[in-house]
Amino acid sequence: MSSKPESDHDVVVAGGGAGGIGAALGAAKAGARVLLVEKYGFLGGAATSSNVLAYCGFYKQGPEPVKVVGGVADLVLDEIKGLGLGCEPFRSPTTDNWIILLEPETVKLALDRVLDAHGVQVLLHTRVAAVSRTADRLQAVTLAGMEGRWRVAAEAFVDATGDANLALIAGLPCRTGDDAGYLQAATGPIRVGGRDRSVPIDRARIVAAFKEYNWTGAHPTARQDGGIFAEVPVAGDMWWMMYDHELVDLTSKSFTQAEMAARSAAGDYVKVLRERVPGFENAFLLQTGPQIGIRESRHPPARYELTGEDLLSGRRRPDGIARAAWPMEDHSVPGRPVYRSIGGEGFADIPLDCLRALGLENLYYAGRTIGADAAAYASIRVMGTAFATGEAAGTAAAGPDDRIEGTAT
Amino acid sequence: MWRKSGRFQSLAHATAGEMPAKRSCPGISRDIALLLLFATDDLAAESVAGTCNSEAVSHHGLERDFCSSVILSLPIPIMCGAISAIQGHVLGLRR
Repeated sequence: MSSKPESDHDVVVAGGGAGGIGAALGAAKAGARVLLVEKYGFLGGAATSSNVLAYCGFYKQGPEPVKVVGGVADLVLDEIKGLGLGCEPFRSPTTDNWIILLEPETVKLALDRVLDAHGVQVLLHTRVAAVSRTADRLQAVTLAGMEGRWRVAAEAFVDATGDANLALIAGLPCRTGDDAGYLQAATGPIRVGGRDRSVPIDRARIVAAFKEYNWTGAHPTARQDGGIFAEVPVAGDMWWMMYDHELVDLTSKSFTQAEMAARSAAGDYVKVLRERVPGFENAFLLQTGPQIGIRESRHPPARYELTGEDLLSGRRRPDGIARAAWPMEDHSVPGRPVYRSIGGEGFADIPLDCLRALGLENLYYAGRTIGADAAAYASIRVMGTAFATGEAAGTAAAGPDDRIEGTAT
Repeated sequence: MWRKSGRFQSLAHATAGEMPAKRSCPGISRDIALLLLFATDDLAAESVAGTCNSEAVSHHGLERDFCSSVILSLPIPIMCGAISAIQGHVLGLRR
């Protein structure tokens, strides 16, 4: 342990993805002194670490883009727009869902700025390594960073790690995957450069080329529709989601295999484009993500688990604090996503109890760590929804009941 | 506090980027509308005057009389919610 003195904040947020950003901004806007810690050297979560270059969940399904997530997420979008990225809703031709296409360097810079503008202290290259707790409360986290380890006390904590690392370290019993332990497939989105942009991307040729590749290739793809692709805004290269990987468990060994397989597949797939699809004659692999895209890992215990039935019925509720509008996108079978639409008005309410840890009074969840069964999880895990659950978690963490209750006359 | 439906509603609207108070009270200022987002229904109406003297109201740059008149013109449940919100904001300023 380093000799660095213990510091304290009102709220510590673990994880700098969409959920963590939302939580930090929500807590800061509520007046809290906020510390956000992130393991990478940049913020953004899947958008910047896994090449998931689209915000999903901001809009309902339908012929027109109807927005269901705003709040602090709009601060982020405004900052991104200020840097020249349009953030207009884009309807995916593959799925008909409304998304916002991203360019990762713009997102990184925008997130730095928006957190700084709201007084959030950010520590990059820093992880939560241990916790101090009583029977029902977290007291402090031990952070591991460039200068060693040190303790940070806080009134409340938000687990926005995506993998429930904080809850796990705190000793909460976490579920892996669905009830049977199956995990949603991981994904390896890539960026392809060198394409002749005057030639429209021929989806039929991609489909035919991979039908042939699947006979002999080392990494056959189950996606038979050519995958999800779009032009990256500003940069102009091609963003392509074509490779899915079955993740069997959450061990470092499995993650290593997944990363290496995704890289190998990326090389193969670009070679197929180059050899078989017009306009890609000079194409090259521009980038894989800093890490493979993880759709699912651990689920920490929450006071309520949102259910697939809640979403299918578009359930509204008086204790709702955010809206889930992204269709339940099930990736149980790699490369073969199945979509189920949200019922009712096209979105369902997420109650606060999904964000509250079962067993620890001052731990909140944000993003894909919130309580949800397997079906509902396939919807709430996306980044647009994560901003909203993050904001709610941060607001709740910053404004505990008793402080406000105590002023009642 | 979270058991009170008003706080849930306010947060639900906030994360969705909506301003429900503006719909119910057209014509009032944005600051008052923001305060009303935190509407709850269990505070005593008698505290209106005291609350309107609060530093939170000053912080928002609102005239005390204007604020009083707006709040007093509202239905009691909403009025009380505005008081609650102001008090919560005062706490935030003092932290």
